Amino acid sequence: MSYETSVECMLKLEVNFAADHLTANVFNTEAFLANLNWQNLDECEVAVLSKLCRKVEISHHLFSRYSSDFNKPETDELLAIQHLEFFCGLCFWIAETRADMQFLNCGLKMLDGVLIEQSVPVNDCLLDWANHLLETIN
Amino acid sequence: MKIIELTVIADKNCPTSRTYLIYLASIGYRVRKVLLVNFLWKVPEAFRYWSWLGPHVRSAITQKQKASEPQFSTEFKKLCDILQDHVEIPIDYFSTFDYSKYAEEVEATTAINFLDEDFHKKLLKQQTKTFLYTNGGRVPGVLLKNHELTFIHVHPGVLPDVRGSDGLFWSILVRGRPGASCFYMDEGIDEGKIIHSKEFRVPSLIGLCSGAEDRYSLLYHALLFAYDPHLRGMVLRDVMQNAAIGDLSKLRAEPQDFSLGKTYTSMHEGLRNKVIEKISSCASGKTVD
Repeated sequence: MSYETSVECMLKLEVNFAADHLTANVFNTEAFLANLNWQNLDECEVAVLSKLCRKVEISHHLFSRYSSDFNKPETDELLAIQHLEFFCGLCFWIAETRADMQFLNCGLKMLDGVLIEQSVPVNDCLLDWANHLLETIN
Repeated sequence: MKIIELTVIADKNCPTSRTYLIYLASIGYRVRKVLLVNFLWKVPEAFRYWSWLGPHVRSAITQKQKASEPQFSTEFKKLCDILQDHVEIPIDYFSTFDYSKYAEEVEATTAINFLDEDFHKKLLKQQTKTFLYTNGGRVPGVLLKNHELTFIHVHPGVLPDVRGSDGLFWSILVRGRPGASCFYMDEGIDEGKIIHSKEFRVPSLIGLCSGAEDRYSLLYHALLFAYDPHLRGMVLRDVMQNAAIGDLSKLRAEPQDFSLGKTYTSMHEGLRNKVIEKISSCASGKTVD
């Protein structure tokens, strides 16, 4: 899988631009993901994505809004499927571009159905990407 | 044998406890006490209204419970033996272990896990309040914040680089070799002050990885059961050798730099299998660095 194919996969998964992701006390996960310039992530954005990974792996849920300190969800509404798919792609993107195995771990778990009540749809592009990333580990 | 002022909280079913004691004995040390715990892990099923029961009733019920004995297949035992071919002190993990050879006193008890308040009382009553943690789940803040108590743990990974779960596998994946660190436990996950860290050569798994899916899983569990405890045992032995018979609650320890390293979660099976494949092609032999 070439870099161009990874970019192509991410472009397919992209979600539309949304309103600001952070209001006074609430972090809007969907808006944050939609507004990300994923080809040029800064350290703060990666740190936020890492916190979302922990939500996936520890609470097995991803909500559409959290308190600004990420301590608790601010809604019962789960993250929409297309955002979930995009987040999974982002995990692989970071694993590939930053060689960060923690993100690969999270993406693999999402594809394997670690989330309760939510699931990343079967997507050939994500599955191929996951296999490619696993094969390139040395 | 010299006595170390240490109470080992030994999970009855965890191989790490006996490994620590055997490695300490190899340098002529035995510990003050072993608190041999039968961890139940969950409230007995017949007692739905557990929290309504008084502490004496709860304690009486708990002490009568028995944790299920782990069952090991012949193949698993064989694999554990092979993994120990290259370790410094091979250990019989499947026979009954006589803890009294390694401690001045052995007390058997039963607890649900570290959240069990009756178990907290038991710990507070110990004469030697410097504890060696071996297993039993997350230690709650109420114990870790108590200045009377000190908890020492040996984590399978070099701190601060590799914190969290599956330390053995994450260490091999991200640092290329396994490691272990002895530290004072605090409320964070593997975030306490570091007493001693060490890295080791990768274990030799040549010929053990046949490619069958269930073989990977068996190897994963065997590595955790019969290889990982040796690394921890060696690190603990180093610590005790350097500390001599001083106050173990006041050893020289360095705070961690939190800008370094990551707190990893359990490793996905696909990644675990890659680590196993990776070490299957390494021919390092001895585990000792």
